Amino acid sequence: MSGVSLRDLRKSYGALDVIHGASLDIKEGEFVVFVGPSGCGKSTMLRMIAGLEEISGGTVSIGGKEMNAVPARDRGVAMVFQNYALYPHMSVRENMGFGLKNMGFAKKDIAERVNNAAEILQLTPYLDRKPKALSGGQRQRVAIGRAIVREPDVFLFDEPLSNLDAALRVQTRTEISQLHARLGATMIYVTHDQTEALTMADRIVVLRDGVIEQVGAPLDLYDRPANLFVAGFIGAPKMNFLSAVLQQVAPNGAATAKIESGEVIPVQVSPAHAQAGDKVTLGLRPENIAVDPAGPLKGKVDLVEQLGNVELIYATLDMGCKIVAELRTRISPLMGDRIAFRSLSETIHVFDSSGDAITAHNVLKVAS
Amino acid sequence: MTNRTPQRMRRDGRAALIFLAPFLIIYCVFLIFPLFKAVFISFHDWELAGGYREWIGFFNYEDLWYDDYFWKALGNTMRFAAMAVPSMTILALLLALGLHGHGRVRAVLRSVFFSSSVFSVTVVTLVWQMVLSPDRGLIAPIFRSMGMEPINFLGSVEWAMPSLVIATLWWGVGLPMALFLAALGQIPDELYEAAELDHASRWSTLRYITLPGIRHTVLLVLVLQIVGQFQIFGQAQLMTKGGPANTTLTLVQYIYNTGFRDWQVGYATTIALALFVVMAGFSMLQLWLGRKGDDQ
Repeated sequence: MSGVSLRDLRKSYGALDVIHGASLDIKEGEFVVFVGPSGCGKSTMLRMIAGLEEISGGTVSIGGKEMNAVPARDRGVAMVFQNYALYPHMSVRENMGFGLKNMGFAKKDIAERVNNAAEILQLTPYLDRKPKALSGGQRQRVAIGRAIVREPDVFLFDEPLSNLDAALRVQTRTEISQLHARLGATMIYVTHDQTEALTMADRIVVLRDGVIEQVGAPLDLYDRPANLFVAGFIGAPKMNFLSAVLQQVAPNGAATAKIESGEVIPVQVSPAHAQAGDKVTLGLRPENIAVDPAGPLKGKVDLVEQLGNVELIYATLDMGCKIVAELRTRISPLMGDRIAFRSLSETIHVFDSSGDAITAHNVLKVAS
Repeated sequence: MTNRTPQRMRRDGRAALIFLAPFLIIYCVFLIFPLFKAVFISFHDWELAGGYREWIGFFNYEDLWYDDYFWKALGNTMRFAAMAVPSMTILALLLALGLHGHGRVRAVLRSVFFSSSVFSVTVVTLVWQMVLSPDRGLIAPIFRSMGMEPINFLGSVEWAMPSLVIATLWWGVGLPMALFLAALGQIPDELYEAAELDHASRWSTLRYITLPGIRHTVLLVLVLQIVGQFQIFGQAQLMTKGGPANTTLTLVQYIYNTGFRDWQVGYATTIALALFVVMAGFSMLQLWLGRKGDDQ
């Protein structure tokens, strides 16, 4: 088992830079998820770790050894591809044993490892089938099995669930998490789905345009997003954003922000990073918004979505911006009804004009 | 599905027939009809010019059975095919493996190797006659420089047929190479990446990833080659005229001589049908072998 370390990792295709110097330390046995919108460079970064993509600058180290010049096969990594990449002409057994066979393992050892992996992944009845005779979920498990039998130091997953239907995705997600707990191996997992990231990761790495925006535990990212991008990307439904101007900032960080409708909302900011008159963006999680006839956020209901356990109310505020509230109380307003919301001040995120968080707790964390 | 009434199905059938009609008409007029006409002619003593036609039943087939020239020509044709088909397939595959992928040099070489296919058989045979000529040929100086007498390739019993094979390879390697290149392009890169991570050597990648991935194309090329090479005519006719001592006399050449030199269209048609049966048999065998592999 080994950790993975990236130092100022760069990738460019000709004049086009796609990864702009990423540095990251992944601890041994950690489950790290790279998440970001498509084209953010997350798959490229994974492929550079695997050795399938040339490194334009910086270093990749696995287990403390620099791997830049080491061929993919000798890096001790196994990869699960988005389209599974199963060998179509081999049975499940041969697919899983191919790597071991190439590495010169004895037939008996190969059979033993393949059978073990098949048992873990419930593939035993399918060992003699060809991939085309398997369902998507089974193929995915074969791809995972092919990685397991090699007992690699590092597992790499490249959007492995994106070809599965919703129900199977949830099931396989759980299986991969259980597998991680069982094997204790270092796993790096790439996805564009923030739900997968939040549910599976020990730590999430949020990427945008080839830059690491924030690294942290799932709840850290959710509760203390470092900037507008992370705040908007992590969490569903998305965080609501309102433009505002800071009115006054007390030395202890207690401040008031005036939104466009003229209402004043109390917020907590880092006094070192904010002063009265600053233009800011307020971020409100949908679940931290309550319906309150006396609340400062007044508007009209656009749509109500019933999810059973919660109710999503989409509204357009009088100041023009859209807002969504997630309520556990079934007040079920009608479309077009007038409505007013309020938000708890300690849960309001504040971002400065460049998009960086200046909420009190964020800055405290940065300072520490 | 509720509106698939018999009426509607009849209308769909009619529409399908209308769309298929142009092909069906051409297929029937130029393939099916001539095939049956050929069978009909083969039961006659039928001369090319004039109106002499006489029903002679299976006499042509009996003749064929005892015709030494026919067996000689069939043997020569099979010998040619046995040399040309595997070497063409392997050469095309090797070229495709070498030229598959990115890079300007590869792109240029792909065009170069394909370009010989566009020449007519007359040009190809002329080029190779010039190359192989023992007097002024391209190869002759090499022999002389080694102090040897240049071999008269086209005039030698041993070398005439291999020379035809080499000219044919040079001429025809472009198309099978292009087919292999297309097939190689269909194999997902991810399979090769997975194989790399699976420690596969170059040989086992070829053996377990590439070759199984292009198996259907290999089969297609083999069938096309068998059908094509059994019909060899131009090279033999222009380079050796079937000689020396009929060692390169091929079936189509024999058909041509019988039909158009000796005017015996009835007998020529009989030989042609025999060639058809041999070619069909080999093609069926190939396809059957291919399907058998699929079922495994």
